[in-house]
Amino acid sequence: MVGAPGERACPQCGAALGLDAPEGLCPGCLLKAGLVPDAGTPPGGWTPPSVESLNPLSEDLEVVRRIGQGGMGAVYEARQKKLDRRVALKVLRPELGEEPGFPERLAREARALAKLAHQNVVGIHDFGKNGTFHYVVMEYVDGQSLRQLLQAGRIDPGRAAQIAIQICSGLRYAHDQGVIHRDIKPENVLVDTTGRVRIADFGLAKLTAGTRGDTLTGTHDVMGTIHYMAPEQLERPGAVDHRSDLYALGVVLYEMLTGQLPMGRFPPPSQRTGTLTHLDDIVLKLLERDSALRYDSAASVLLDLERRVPRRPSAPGEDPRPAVAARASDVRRPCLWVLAAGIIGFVAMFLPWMSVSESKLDEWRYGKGRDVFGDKSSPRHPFFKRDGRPEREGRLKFKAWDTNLLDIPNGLLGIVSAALALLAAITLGSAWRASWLAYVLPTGYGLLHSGCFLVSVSAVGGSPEVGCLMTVFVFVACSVAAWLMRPPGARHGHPTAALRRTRPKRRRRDRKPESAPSRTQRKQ
Amino acid sequence: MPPQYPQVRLATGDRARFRPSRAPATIRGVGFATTRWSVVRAAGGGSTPDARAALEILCAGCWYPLYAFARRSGRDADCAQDSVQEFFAALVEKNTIAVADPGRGRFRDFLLATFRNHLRNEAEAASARKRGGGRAVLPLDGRDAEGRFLSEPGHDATPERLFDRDWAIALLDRVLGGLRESYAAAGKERIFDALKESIAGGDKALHASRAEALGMTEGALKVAAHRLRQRYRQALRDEIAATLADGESVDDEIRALFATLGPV
Repeated sequence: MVGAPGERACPQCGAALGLDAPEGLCPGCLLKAGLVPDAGTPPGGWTPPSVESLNPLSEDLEVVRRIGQGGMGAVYEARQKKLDRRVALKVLRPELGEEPGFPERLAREARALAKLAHQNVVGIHDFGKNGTFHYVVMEYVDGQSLRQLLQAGRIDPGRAAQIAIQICSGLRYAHDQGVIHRDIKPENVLVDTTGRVRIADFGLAKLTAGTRGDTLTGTHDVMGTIHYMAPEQLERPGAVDHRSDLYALGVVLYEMLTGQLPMGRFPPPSQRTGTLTHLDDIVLKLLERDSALRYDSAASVLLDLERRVPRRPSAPGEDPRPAVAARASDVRRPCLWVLAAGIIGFVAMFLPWMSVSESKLDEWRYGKGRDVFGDKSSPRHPFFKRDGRPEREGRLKFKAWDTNLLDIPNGLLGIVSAALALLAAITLGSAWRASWLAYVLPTGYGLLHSGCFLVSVSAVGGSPEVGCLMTVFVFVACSVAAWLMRPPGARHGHPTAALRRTRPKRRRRDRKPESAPSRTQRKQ
Repeated sequence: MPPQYPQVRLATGDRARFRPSRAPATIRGVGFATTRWSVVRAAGGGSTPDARAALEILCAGCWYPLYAFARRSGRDADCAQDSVQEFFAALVEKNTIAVADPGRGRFRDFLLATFRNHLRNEAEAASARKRGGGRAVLPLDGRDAEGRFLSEPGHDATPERLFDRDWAIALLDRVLGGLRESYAAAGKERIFDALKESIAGGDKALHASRAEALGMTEGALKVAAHRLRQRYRQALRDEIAATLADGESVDDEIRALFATLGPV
């Protein structure tokens, strides 16, 4: 648009001004001027009352300091004397209170908020009026807003997903209680020092008929909030429902991942950042212009998010970081153990092959009353063909297993060796965290083990049926154990998904769950 | 006998701009309190002078957005002009306006929906179109409007979105034009010109030099600027309120119009 003859830019907002600009002024700024209550002072120019003038607010409340200023009013830290606890005090702008019917609306909203009690929602304690202004007493959150975090720098995808999960959790609870936020934005998402996310100002958006949209620092654009508003919220404000909150969540998530707002025809987050694609589907579905195409509830968003981001159980004091990006050091540490387990397993495979003493062998063979060697020319005994006589001299180098399952020492030996082998294989698979290895290694190993067993049984001349049974048993046991104990990264999706090299197609309607972490792991 | 429509004198394109806000100030002077919906209903009430006056306001306000919409639907300049003329004529004849009630939503939504229907019907009965044909024609400056239309940048937005955008621009034009006229009526047009940039939050540092040029103290100029902003804000909110249905918020409409302006 810029570059046509006669085109200028607005000095305030930088938008290109066309030939149709009214009186040569910027239409955007002109519209904004219609919103600000006193167009003479800059947005946020209301001087909030000082701490001294507020004290004492009531019998029980003692105001400590001012935390910040927003579009609706100013926020202070206060103390409830009787309970001796810190609370947040929000003093609303006087212009809001002057609107007709405001006290009733405030009371109604406060009561609706009082029903909300959730770890991801900032709760309300009290509300009231002091002289000229109304105030609301809320939970105090020791931390900073998501806006401040964004200004400090980009948030990594794992952390962004965890924050989104917590926002979703809070939204699901609130929507179940019938409360819609209507004003989800980074300024209203608070992250405390333990990493817990709390959504603030639930439902209060309905109270503000005037100015909105300032950050606590007062530098954000007055019109900034419209970027987080769903299209239906702008076109038909009366038709807002919980899905508008989900749209806003999509915008916030996009901003966390890419640092920019999704405007016009925007690229999916992975294209902007060049990293994982596993959140693309979710973000794009949240940002659908038609609310019918979006997720229908916060619960389904939560389900999808948790599926994509495996959660490592974190203690409350720990910074929640997902297992998505496995670091190289995680892989190297168990190497020695893996090596040891591998050697033991390998050796264990040969245990059955090591002979029991020859006399015992003879006893088994002949004690059964069976001439296991049978005919010299029998093809069943290729290894023992030695001029027709049983090998008696020297060590038998072949399997000395008896096919009689009731022979406990031998059976035990077999089971122990199989278990050790399996353990080695699973440890290897887990250490590499690769889903396909986790399947292939133990299963393949079990197959190998069983195969050897089968061959040896035929060689020794035992009953092939029992031998087959044992083989199948070991194989199935190995596979089932491998499936049950597969590493977390492989918990979803088809095992061969990791072998797919191309980027998964993004289909908006019917998406299949992706075993996305394996892509990261392969990069490691 | 067909109803005689008043000649709506709309300004020609000085500075190559379309200025529909030069609608008769006298009617505007009746007061911004006159809601557009009541005007519309009055316009549908028959061939009384009030109805005609109301129709003037109607045409002055939304001629260009409708013209642009008709052009985007594929009609050429002449056809689009005719369509709009016919639309306004049909509105009164068929008393469609009388059917319009605030419960149906915003005026601009109603207008667009009705105009779209009109275009559709017109396309179906294309052969029966007659130009002029005994009806007084609104001498709208088609040449200038076409010039403005052609100079618009190419969009990939839908015609509906562009209609809303044109509507927003036309609205601002009306408000500013009305303000200009009222200042001119008081002999203070120079002040308006000097201070109009501050309406949108302009640079206050220039006030000192401007104050001298206008022969006022800086303090007086600041007061005048503040007053202008307040009057503008009130005028804008009144004008918007006039197009809204019951229970709708002016702030929501401002935000919605802002969103139609497109990504900044």
